[in-house]
Amino acid sequence: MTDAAWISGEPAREAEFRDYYELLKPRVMRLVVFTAAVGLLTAPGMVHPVIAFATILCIAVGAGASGALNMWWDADIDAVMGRTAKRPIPSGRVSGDEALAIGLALSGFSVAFLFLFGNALAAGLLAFTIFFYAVIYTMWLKRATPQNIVIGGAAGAFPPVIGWAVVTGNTSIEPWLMFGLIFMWTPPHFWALALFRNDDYTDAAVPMLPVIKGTRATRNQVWWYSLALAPVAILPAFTQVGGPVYLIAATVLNVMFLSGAWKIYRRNDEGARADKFKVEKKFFGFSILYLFLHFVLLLLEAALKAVGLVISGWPVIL
Amino acid sequence: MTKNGITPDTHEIYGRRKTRNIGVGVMLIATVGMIFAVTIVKLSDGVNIQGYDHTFETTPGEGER
Repeated sequence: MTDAAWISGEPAREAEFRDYYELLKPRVMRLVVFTAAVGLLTAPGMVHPVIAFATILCIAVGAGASGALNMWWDADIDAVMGRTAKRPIPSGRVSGDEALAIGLALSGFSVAFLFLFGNALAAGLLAFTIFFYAVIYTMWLKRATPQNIVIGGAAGAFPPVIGWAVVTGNTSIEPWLMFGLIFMWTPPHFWALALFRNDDYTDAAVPMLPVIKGTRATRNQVWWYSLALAPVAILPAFTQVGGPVYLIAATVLNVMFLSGAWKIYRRNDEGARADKFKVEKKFFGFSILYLFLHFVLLLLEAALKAVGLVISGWPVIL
Repeated sequence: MTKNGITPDTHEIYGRRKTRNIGVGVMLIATVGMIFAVTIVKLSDGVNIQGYDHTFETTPGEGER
């Protein structure tokens, strides 16, 4: 596949089914499914398992649709970056037009079905999420400002709120704290990646923080955002969805996260290059586990409550 | 080789089309199955399936007088 091929929109060969599946960013979808499921399962009340399955599927497909729209719009820069050059469009397996059609069709279907299976609020939030990721983040912020992922992170933070809305028909402080957790986690997570993938973003002229402000500023920001993340991550312990198990484990996780961020803050590029960005890569890997475990803890608290294992007098301040 | 001497086309493009067609078929069947399952659940729960413009008849219909 030559560059001319994706520019013309013609695929180099006919696509297999898995090429279309790849358009939906399956790895991102897994996180979306998990966080939406936690939002749904920790919400007060319950829905029939069939409804729960169907609505989470709608949320996953909606997220996948926005991923396809993202790949359609970003095919030019994806082709330049090593991390993304093998995606279906730049590698010539799917045409840009096909990706656009799939993205638009699945966006419409996912929102319509979520409205029918769930409720209007959940469907509205999903529609807004798709719009935010595809238009606000992908088409506007990503190439316009080094704050792209700070604001764009909101798109990835909505799924637990949507899951909660499916059950309750409204939202409250708990899902918004889950939103805050993902939202505040996104910048240090992606800036750690950007530190050791700086060349990619520079080649593609994507104004990531290290490209525009330099790596020193990025290291500082990783630390300050991690510091701001900690209270947001621990606060759910004092809501209806939290408890002592969450408090203890989240505190440990945040101490570990801050320790990693501190190491990044204290380093410079010479040190990082000397050990091939070992600290940054380790922090990036741990950040995925960090987020996953916070949501596992929320599920665990819900399970403990379901079997009656609650501490009476636990302070619920929010 | 077939009876009339024509070899079936075994170009790899057909393999790719086949996976695509099977994939789309499975997705369509799964979608129909999901809509059916949700419909059954909603009807079992006694959800209101009357249209938004439904109004109660306050007088007997023509044939019921």
